[in-house]
Amino acid sequence: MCMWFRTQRMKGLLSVLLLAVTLDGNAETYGFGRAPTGEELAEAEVDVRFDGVGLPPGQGNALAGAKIYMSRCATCHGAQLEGNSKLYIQPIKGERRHAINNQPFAPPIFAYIRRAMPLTAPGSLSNDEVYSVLAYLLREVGILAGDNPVLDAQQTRSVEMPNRPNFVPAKNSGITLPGGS
Amino acid sequence: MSTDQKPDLVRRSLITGSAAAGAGLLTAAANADTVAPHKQPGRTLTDMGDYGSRSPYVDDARLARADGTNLYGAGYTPLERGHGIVTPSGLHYEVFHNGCPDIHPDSHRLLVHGLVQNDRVFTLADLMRLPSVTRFCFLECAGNGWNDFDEPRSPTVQLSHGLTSCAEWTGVPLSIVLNELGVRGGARWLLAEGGDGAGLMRSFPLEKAMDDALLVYAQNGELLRPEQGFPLRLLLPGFEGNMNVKWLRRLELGDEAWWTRSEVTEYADPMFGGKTGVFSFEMLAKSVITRPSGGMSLEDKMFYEITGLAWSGRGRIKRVEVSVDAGRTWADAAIEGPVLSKAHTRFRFPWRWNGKVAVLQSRATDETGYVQPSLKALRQNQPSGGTHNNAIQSWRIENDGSVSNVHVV
Repeated sequence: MCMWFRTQRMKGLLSVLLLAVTLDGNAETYGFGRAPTGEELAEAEVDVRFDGVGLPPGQGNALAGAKIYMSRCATCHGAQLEGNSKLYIQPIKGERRHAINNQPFAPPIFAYIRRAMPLTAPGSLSNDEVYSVLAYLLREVGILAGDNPVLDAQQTRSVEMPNRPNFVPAKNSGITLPGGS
Repeated sequence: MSTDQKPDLVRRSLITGSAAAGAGLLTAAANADTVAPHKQPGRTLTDMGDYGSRSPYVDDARLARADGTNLYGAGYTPLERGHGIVTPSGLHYEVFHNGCPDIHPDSHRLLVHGLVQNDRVFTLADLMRLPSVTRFCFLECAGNGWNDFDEPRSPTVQLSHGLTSCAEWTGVPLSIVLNELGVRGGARWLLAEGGDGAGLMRSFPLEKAMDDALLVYAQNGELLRPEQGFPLRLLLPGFEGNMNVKWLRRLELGDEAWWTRSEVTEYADPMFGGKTGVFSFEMLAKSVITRPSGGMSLEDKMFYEITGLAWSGRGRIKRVEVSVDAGRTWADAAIEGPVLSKAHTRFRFPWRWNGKVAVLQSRATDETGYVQPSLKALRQNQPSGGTHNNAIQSWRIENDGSVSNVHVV
């Protein structure tokens, strides 16, 4: 992690600590709400962070993923990941920023597929199926090698996305770039 | 009520809308002028119903643009029809990533968890019992103006700028809710997740949560409409529209941003040299003349009030200037108060058209001193207008009075 990021992070941490002291010292609490159950938390927590926090157990492979992709995804995204011009759906392989190959981290793609896809039945793919589809997509865009790459949580976390170095803080963000390496 | 009886309200404001003419609004079949009193009983209270409806002569409407699934798209606000600074709830712009969910408020819950002392689940009733705040605030899609950066493609201000709206919002400050839970050391970011099929997720800094973020349940004095996130949405004043997550079901606190799919694809900013800028939250100062604007037609040499909207994600609008000669000379427009932070601000500029070609522009300055850039300047700063296109807009008036979208570069 470069020094600039570290400095910004320390500043952020300090301001949070100061804030917490103020709140504990002055603000009233009201006691509304209830504690979630463990089941509720497990069911609700469907996000996956850039560093793989949140990736579930399970695994999949590209050959299985190809079959799932063709039956569940290809209608909209195209058999060659070329999109569907009739539906105005953009390619998920290529130059555009929506393309899988241009994304900076693999784990959030897992989260997105699992939570939001397919559009007509979001959340209907099992964890193993999502790992398989992700392995297939990353193979198709040339990021995973071999005929049948396998993905689980550890391997998904370790995928090196070639476009990662091109992601920088936006010009007007004025904030710390998280996940900096 | 047949459509040919509809009056031309736009004509009454001395600017005709040729776009509207195609929809049959400009037919000449208006009733004869009269100042005579009305001599029949009106509609009964039963006929009026218990929830007001607008006049049958008024047909202001959003314009939908979606992909082939019809689940992913946007509804654009007819800014050229607007008055004042408030967007009616039914005309507020909207963006969908998997349609509009039907959520029962009694079963909806907000889970707040992560780097807090106590994870909590809130009902709507819980949240509505907490101290509330009401404020005006604009929302603008990060992609507003996406289609007009390279060429002036949008024929009307509805399509060129209609992904911004302004409403009065009521909700509980997120800082109060977080104080209920107790923020743990090391927490720096929050993740907001929507309850729609898209499960939209966006990260935002804890500083914003503690500053002016609201968990909103009401808009313009009534509970939210489904298209605006009923029963609960996040409001991050001044931040790009997509971050104001609708149908809010979950907030998680963490020590890093998540880098969700939305954050690295459609809501990231293309930069020069193949770079992509992430986490550009604030919508910078912007303005647009809404009348006269593209698709309208000036009828004759006479007085016209040039009017429009200005806004800034960084605070109040301090100044709006208007040019009628393509930016060669500028003069201050009148800004109508109250001028509210992070809200649409109405400006007015009296003008007498001389029947000659004119190019109208407006330029906003906010309280930080930031000045809305020209298209030329913005293009030197970013290669794409797919997000955060806040360039000065130009409307060209021809000798015949017709108004069109043009670029001045």
